[in-house]
Amino acid sequence: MSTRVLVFSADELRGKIIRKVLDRNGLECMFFNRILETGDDIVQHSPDVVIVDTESCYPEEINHLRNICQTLKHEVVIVLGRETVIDRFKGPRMRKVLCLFDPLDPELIAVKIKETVSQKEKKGKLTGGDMLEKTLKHLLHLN
Amino acid sequence: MADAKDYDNAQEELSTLGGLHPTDKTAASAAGGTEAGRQVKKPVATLKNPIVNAERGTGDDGDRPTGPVGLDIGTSHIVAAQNKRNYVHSVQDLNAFFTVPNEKFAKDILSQKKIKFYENAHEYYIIGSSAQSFANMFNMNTRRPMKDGFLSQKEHVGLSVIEAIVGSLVQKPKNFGEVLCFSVPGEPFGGSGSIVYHESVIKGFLEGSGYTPIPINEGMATVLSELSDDDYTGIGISMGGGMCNVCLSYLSFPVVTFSIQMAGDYIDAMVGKTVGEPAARIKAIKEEELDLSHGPKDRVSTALHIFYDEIILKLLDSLRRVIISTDKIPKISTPIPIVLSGGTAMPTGCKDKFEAMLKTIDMPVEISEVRLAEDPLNTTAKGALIMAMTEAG
Amino acid sequence: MSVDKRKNITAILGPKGGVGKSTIAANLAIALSRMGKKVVAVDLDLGASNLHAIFGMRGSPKSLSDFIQNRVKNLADVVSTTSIGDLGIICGGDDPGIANMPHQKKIKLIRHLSSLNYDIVLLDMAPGASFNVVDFSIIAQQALLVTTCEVPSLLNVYSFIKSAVFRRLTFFLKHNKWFELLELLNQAKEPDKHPHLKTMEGFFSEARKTDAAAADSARKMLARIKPLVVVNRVRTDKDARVGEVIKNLLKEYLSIETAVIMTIRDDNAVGDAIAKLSPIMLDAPSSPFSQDIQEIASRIC
Repeated sequence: MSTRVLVFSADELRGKIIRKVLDRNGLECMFFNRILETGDDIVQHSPDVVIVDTESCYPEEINHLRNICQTLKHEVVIVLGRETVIDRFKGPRMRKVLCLFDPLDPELIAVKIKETVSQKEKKGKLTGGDMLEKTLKHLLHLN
Repeated sequence: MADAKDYDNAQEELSTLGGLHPTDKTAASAAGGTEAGRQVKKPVATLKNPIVNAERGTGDDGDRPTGPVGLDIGTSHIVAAQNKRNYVHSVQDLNAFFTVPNEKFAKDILSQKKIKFYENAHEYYIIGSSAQSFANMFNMNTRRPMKDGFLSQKEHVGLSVIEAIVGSLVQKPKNFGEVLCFSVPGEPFGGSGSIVYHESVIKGFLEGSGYTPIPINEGMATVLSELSDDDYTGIGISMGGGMCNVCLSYLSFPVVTFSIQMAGDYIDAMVGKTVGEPAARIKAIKEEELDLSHGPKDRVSTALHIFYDEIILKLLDSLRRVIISTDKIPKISTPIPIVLSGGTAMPTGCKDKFEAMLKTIDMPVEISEVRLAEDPLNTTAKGALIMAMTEAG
Repeated sequence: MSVDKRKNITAILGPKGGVGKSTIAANLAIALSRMGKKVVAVDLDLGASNLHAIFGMRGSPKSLSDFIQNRVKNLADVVSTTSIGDLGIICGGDDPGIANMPHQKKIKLIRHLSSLNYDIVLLDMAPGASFNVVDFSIIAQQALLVTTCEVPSLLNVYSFIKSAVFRRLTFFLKHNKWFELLELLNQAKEPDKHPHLKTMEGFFSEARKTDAAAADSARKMLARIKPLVVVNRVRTDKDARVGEVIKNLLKEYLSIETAVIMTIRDDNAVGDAIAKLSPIMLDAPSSPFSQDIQEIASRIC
């Protein structure tokens, strides 16, 4: 199954460019420019990766995106924008958020997604291993 | 531009029309000043035999181009492109008009001779290349609906003239809502934003004609037409009559667009002013004789070289400044091409001159090569057609 | 137990039956022989012997049961030659009850195995974790445990290694007369009652409180156990990683840090070769299975 990416950008051009490049890189990508409905879209489409573009966002929208990012636990989150804005997406609850500063580099985004997803898959596989270990421990009365 | 046949027709008309005189500019202004708002325009399509002189192919109705339309509405020409069987069929006409008084016998003659015209309450509006022929007869200049890429502020009837010319080039859509993509200029570099008005009114009349109109930046149309092998990534520059339009496209997205309001007309006017010749004559020399690959041989060609240099330098400098100042351009890992289109890019050596001057500029993006469009006069219309076809699905 | 340490005895163990142990043993013997080693493969799956069939042999005039039943005096006399280099085979025989051989016979067999004049003695062991099987694995210099990726097989592998560890420690503590530690080890067999002894590390920690030197000595002895776990019929990367799970458990609960994990890819050529009664190393030497066997042979050689 291909990696599903949701792109949120108030800047339609940037969003479409990202979508096109990711499509070309074999990533299943959807673009949304309704920033304040981000949460609903994530719930509806359950993506592997969420790209949050802060460019052209109003302060309220940036706050909204920041709050959303703090709630995402299973998705890979990539935040795009200017350094000064992206700084707001750092903090203890944002450890898994990957920040990429402008200028927009769609190819780099694709590379990062592939890297991160691959790491996540490896981790997932280890989790599969953990499950097996848990099963064996249980059956061997080792717990 | 009028062809020899048009000229002969006009000469013949002149001898038979007798009292048919042009409506001079002053008179037109006086009339237009009070009557433009209430002029009763009859669309060309309502006339008995309105369309005879377009540079369009012949053929029966079964051969008529169909489907989506690409339309280049330029300051000097209007070009329409449509698919006809397996090729792109382009027709064009001058974006110009010439007025004569509204008199019964004049109408009969114009109709009999199949001159493209339409009428309002007081005048007949001879449009397209026929207007040029008539202007030449009277040793006058044609009037232009557009100036420097936009609807002319001076010509209150400009839009209706454009509508009439477009109507003469493109038949009404077979199906209501057919997609028509029309070119619009980019925001002038450091200039005013009159694009919204220009785009809206043109869109309005196209909608009224039964189309679904979609605007496309003229530079972007050049990209779509010429840079398919480059993933539609590169810079398209359309050097027209009223302006030069520039678009930096990334994977078919126009990330930077702008225009400079200096182009063919500016060269003609400035050279004419410098050497004391009419702009129309300079235009003819420019289009027929100019060779920018060699040094100038006389005063006119010297001046043409100088003003070409000025425009190219202005283009490159503004391109450099726009790219530096914008944060919209994504990182592009490979050098990108520049493609030149439009009539002003056509003189021999123009591309080489552009390339040579580019080397003197420290461009913030790496350029792989400079190319001239395959068919510079039809490039914008073809690009618009590609867009229309894409939109039409 | 007197064992000639110069001999390389390798026990092929499949704590759960049907994991491909005998196929691996036969082909490993061929691979080692082709590497210039003088090899004898011994079918110790007494009562259900089939190693000879994998070599394409119908049987042999003399077998291991002849030796165990004293019909033949020397084990070397029941070795059948093969057409493959210096490879010999000792067939298991089918005498009823032979699998439950008495202790004295077992000791005799071990002594004879150790004195066989071969570079490598490969023991194809019976499934399960009976004392006989565990004892043969203990005398072997190398124990190769075959498992598949399925949970039951993995459980059996872990249980087998745990049994071997406890039995070896029991022998070791008895031999050194460290009875307090032996008592502690017995308690460790009931982790529910003695949760602090659930891990071998817990045992050693408690043992040090009683006799630090003895505990350290036992720990050193344990460090010499280097099981080689072979995960057979691996289809995916995920399958290949199950060995790591076993390795983690061995480290965490039995303090075995030296386990080696190897894999053998699932290969249809194995079934084809068995159907033809021809060892796959001969039938399809470049097959994935043969390649993986060759790798294991290089490792234990």
